Amino acid sequence: MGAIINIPNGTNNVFPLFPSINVNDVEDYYVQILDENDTPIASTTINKLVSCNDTVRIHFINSFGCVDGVTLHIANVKHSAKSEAYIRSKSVPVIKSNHAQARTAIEAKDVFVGKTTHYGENEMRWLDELFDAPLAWIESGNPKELIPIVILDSEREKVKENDAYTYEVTVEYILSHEKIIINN
Amino acid sequence: MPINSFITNPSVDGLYAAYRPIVLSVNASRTDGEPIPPVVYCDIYFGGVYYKTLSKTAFDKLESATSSSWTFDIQTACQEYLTMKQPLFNGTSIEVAHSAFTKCYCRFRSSGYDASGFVTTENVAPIQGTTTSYPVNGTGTQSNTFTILNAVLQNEDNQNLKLRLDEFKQGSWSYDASPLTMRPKYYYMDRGCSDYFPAFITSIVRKVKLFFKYVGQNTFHTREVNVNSGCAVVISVPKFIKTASGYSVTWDVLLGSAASFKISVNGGAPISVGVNSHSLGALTVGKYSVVVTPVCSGDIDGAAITSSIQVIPAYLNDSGDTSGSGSGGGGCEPLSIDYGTPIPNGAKDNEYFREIVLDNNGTSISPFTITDIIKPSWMNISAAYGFFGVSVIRLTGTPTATATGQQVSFTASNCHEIDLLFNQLIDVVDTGACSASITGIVFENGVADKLTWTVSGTPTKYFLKHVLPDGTIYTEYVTSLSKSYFFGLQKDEVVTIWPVCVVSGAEAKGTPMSITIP
Repeated sequence: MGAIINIPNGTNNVFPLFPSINVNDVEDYYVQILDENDTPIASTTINKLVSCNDTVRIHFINSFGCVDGVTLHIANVKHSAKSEAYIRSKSVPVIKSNHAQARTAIEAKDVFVGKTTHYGENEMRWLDELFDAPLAWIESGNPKELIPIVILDSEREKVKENDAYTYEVTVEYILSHEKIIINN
Repeated sequence: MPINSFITNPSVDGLYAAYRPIVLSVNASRTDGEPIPPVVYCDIYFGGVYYKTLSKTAFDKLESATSSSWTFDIQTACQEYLTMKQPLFNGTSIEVAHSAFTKCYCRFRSSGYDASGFVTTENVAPIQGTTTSYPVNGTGTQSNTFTILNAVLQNEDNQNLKLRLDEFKQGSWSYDASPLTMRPKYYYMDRGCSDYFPAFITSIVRKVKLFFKYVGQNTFHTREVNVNSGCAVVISVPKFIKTASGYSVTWDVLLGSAASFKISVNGGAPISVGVNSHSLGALTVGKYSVVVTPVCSGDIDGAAITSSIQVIPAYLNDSGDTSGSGSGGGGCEPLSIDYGTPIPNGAKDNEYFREIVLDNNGTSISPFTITDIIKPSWMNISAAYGFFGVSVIRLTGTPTATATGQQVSFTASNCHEIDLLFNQLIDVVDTGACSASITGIVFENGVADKLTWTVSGTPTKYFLKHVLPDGTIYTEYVTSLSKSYFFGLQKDEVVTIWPVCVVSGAEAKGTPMSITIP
C-alpha cells in the first residue's frame, strides 16, 4: 500500500520545526524525510530563497492531483469596471443634487499580472501546469489565507530560438469572487 | 459457470492514474456453460466499499466454445471519486491527502437465464450508496487490489505511472517513493510563504531532516527532528457500509502495520479488533462518531481517525436509483405495468393467453428478474420480448377445471430498488364453447396496411396474434372488424384472428383463421 503525503516545505511550514535556525540567515535549503533506519524516503528539490518586493505565491492543482505552488513577482494590476446606464425621471420639484443618470449592474475586477524569470526552457512543462490548472489560490490577507483565483486563458512561448536562456513567464489572474458593488 | 479467469488484471499494489484507461478484462461463461452471458457486471470497490457497477451486454470476442472475453475501463468512476486535498495553510506536519488516492478492486459477476427466460445474475449484487443510505457490498470474482492516484498521464508520457513519476526524482529517494510534482531541481520561493512537497510513499516517516545553507556560504548544514515517535501506523478515513445485521465500519492500513485496532463509538469504551473492519450492529436513528485507533505491538496507540455515520429515519431514505443487478448508475427506471387492465379470468378448456407489458413508455428496462411466483398449476409464466423490444411477462396454459380465487402473483426486479409487485385473483369459469368463427380475412396494402375480417356469430372482441418472420410474437385485442397498421405489416408475417366470447370475465376463443401477409 502507500499514501500520498504533503511534506512541509515552505519557510512557514518547515522552520517552525527548527526554532534554533533563523530563516532570515538561510539562502538555500531542502527537506528530507527519513524512515526508522534513518534512510531517506524522499527529498524535496532545493529551495532557493529570493528576496523581492511585491511577490505573490500561487498554489495550483498539478497534473498529479496535488497542490503545487510557484512564487511570482506582481508586475501589474489593472482595474476594470463596466456598467449600464440607469436613467431616472426628473424630480418635481427639482432637487439639484439628484441624479438624472446613474450607473447600474456594475461589474468590477482587478486583473493581476505575475511574472517570473527564474525558470528556463526545461521547466516550462512544469509551468504549463500552472497555466492549465482548473483551480488555483493566492496567499493574501492579514493574516494570510488562501484566496481562490482564476488563471486567465493565455498563449505563451515555451520554446524559442532567440534569447533561449531567458524565459519571462507572465501569468494573468483575477480573484475568483467578483467584487460586490453597492447599489445606492 | 461464473467468471473463469482474468485476462487483464492490474498488478497487486500497482499505481494507476485515474486519467488514463484502467482496464480489467475477464473470461466469462454463461451460468449454464454456454459461452456468452447475457450480462457481465464489474462492481467497483474503493477502499473496500462498493462504489458503482459497470455492466456490459456486448462481449469482446469468443475465447472458446464455452467462454467469451469482456473488458471494462473504470477510469470514469475513479475520476468521479478522487479529488485533490488542500493541505493546511502554514501547517507544519506531514499531511496525508486521503481524498487523492484510493485502494481499489473490482468484483465481476456473470449471468444466465432461468427456466422462464429471465436473466439471472450470479453472486450477490451490491447496492450503491446514496446521500442518505450507505452502500451494501456484494460478492463476485475479485481482481487484484491496486492503488489509483488522482493523476493524469498524457499520451506521450510513459504509461507506467510509477516510472513516469520517478522521472522527477531529485536528490535521495527510496525506490518505492515518488514525487508528485514536476518541480525543477532549483525552486524559488520567498520567506514567509506556505508550501508542501507532495509525494507518494510506502514507509513510515520517523524524522524530518533539514539541509540548509546560510547566506554567502557554500556548505549545507543539517538538523533533524523526530516527527513520529511511537506507533506511526497511518490508516485511511474509516468508511461505512450497510450489512444484513446493521452497519459496519472499514478502513485500510496505508503505512506501517498494526497489531490491532481500537474502535470507540460516541466516546464509549474502546473495543479491540484484530482486522481492519468492525460490525457496529444495528444502529438506531442518530449520528455516531466512530474513532479508529491503530495499535502497534507493545500496546502503543497510533494516530486516531474519527469518522461519523448518520442513520436517518427509514421514511427519509432515498427511494432513487441503486445499481444492484441492473444497468447500474443513474438512469435506471423502475418497472411498471398498466394496473388498470386486470388479467382476465380463465375459461375452462380454453387456451389462456395474456401478456403483461412492462414499461409501456418503451424505455428499455431489461434485464429484470422475477421471483416469488405464485400461480395455478395450469398456468405458465415466462419472459418474452414483444414488438419493438418491449419486455413482457407472458401468462399461458389451459385450465381444465373450474376454480375460484386462484392467486397469480410475482415480484419483478431490475436495477431500480423499487420492485414491481403483481398480485391478482382470478377464477376459472365454464364459459361453454364460443361458437363464433372467423370466415374471411382481407389484407390491403396501402399507406397504412389494413386487415379486415368477417365473422359468423357475435363475439365480444377479437384476439390477434402476430408472428413476425424472425419469430417475434405480439398480440392485441380489437373490438371492430378491421385494424389499420400505420407502421405496416411485414412480408410473411402470420396473423391469426380469434373471435373471443367474454363470459364472467373469462375469455373463450372461437374458431380462428390465419393470413400470411404477402
